[in-house]
Amino acid sequence: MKIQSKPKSAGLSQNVRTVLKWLFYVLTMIFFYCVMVSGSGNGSKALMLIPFATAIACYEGEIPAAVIGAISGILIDLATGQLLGFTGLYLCLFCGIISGMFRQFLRKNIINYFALTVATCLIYLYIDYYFFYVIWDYEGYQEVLKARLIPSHLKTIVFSPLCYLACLIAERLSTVKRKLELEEKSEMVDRV
Amino acid sequence: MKDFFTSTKFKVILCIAALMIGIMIYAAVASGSAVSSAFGTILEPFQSASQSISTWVTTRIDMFVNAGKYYEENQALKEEIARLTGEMADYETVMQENEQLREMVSLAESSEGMEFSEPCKVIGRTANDVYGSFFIDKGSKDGIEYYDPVVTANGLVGFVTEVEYTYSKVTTILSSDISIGIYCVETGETGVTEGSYTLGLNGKLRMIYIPLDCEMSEGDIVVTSGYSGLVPNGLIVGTVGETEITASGLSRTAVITPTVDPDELTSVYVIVDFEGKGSGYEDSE
Repeated sequence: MKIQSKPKSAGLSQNVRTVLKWLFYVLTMIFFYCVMVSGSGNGSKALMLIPFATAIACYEGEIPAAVIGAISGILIDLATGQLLGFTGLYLCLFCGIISGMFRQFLRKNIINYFALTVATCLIYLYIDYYFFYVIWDYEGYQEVLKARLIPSHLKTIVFSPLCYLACLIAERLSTVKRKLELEEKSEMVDRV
Repeated sequence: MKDFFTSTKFKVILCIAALMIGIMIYAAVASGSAVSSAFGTILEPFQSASQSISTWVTTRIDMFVNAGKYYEENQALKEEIARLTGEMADYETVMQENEQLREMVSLAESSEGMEFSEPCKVIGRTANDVYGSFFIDKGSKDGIEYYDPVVTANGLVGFVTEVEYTYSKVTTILSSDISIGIYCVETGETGVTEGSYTLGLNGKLRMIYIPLDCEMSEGDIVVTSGYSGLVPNGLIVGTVGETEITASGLSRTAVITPTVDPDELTSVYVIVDFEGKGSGYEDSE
């Protein structure tokens, strides 16, 4: 008697589901980029690519997470007019570490995800503010923190659970459910 | 976790991080980046479509949400028309003043030597930028060059500060990175523009190096002097607000309200050539 693992239903194959999942990731990243650069120029805008990249890091391996983080960071750099690669480097490292932490230490749940996303956003807020405003010491740079950066990151953090839910659903839909079956009794098997 | 830091995965991540550092250094030292150009070329159609959808949705929502407000505005405008009709008697006087103003700012003359680009559509805005910089759908293939002035019918908007093949980035005159020579049409007093984050958040900039005995008053119009060779003479920049003496006591500054609000723009023109372009640099050389 043997135990076999079989797909529960004859739907899409695992490969097709994986391709669709990554297509969803790419299209969502482009969508978030377009949201950042569209609309009126006044007011702050959420940097939704940060929580989306950390959400992907929850469910993917270290290398895919780092690549996604790098691409998301470059898109943020393009949208915010910052030095290209600055956010790319930051998110590349953080997403790789976050992915490693979820694989080694942490359970995959929304609380852990939220805590890590908040930490990622806060550290990014600080280095962004420091490197692009504080060290240049232009007149009124403190105003930018209150009027743009903090509201932007608050919006990002508030809407971050949606990114987690989107990635959770994508992950579940992209995984073929399997069930364990006992093979039928065989006459060839010598039963004791 | 110790195993992770010695694993191949960690080394690969370090390699990607090194690549990012390389891109960052390249972007910092090169005026145009192949990476940003490649990303920008791919994303430009999405940006353009997204901006169109955003404008359409915003307009429709605005119509429904503010219907009451527009009704009141309509009533107010009807009253305004009635009032203006009464003032038609002063039409000839206003026309004469208008002609004088035109002569003073030499707008008609200064426009003669200018070559404009095709209308440029605003395809995206820099997120969280205090100065309201934005992207337009014309690039080097359309003859756009670095530091070309960007205008609307109402006046100067800013300068092209990044040129890619299919798109360009415009930095507005609110930016602290841009300073141009301007003068007051009414009094002829000259000064230089200066941006700051505090003023930029309110959509304003500052005119500095104004003489202490200046005669400028609120509402006066300031235009470009054209001395630098970066921008033609006589383009309207904005109107003068309050003036104050600087901390050193050697000169005055004035708050300038630009005639163009960059946050509301949907299309602009780029002045690709004009009389005296680059002359400031030639003189300095």
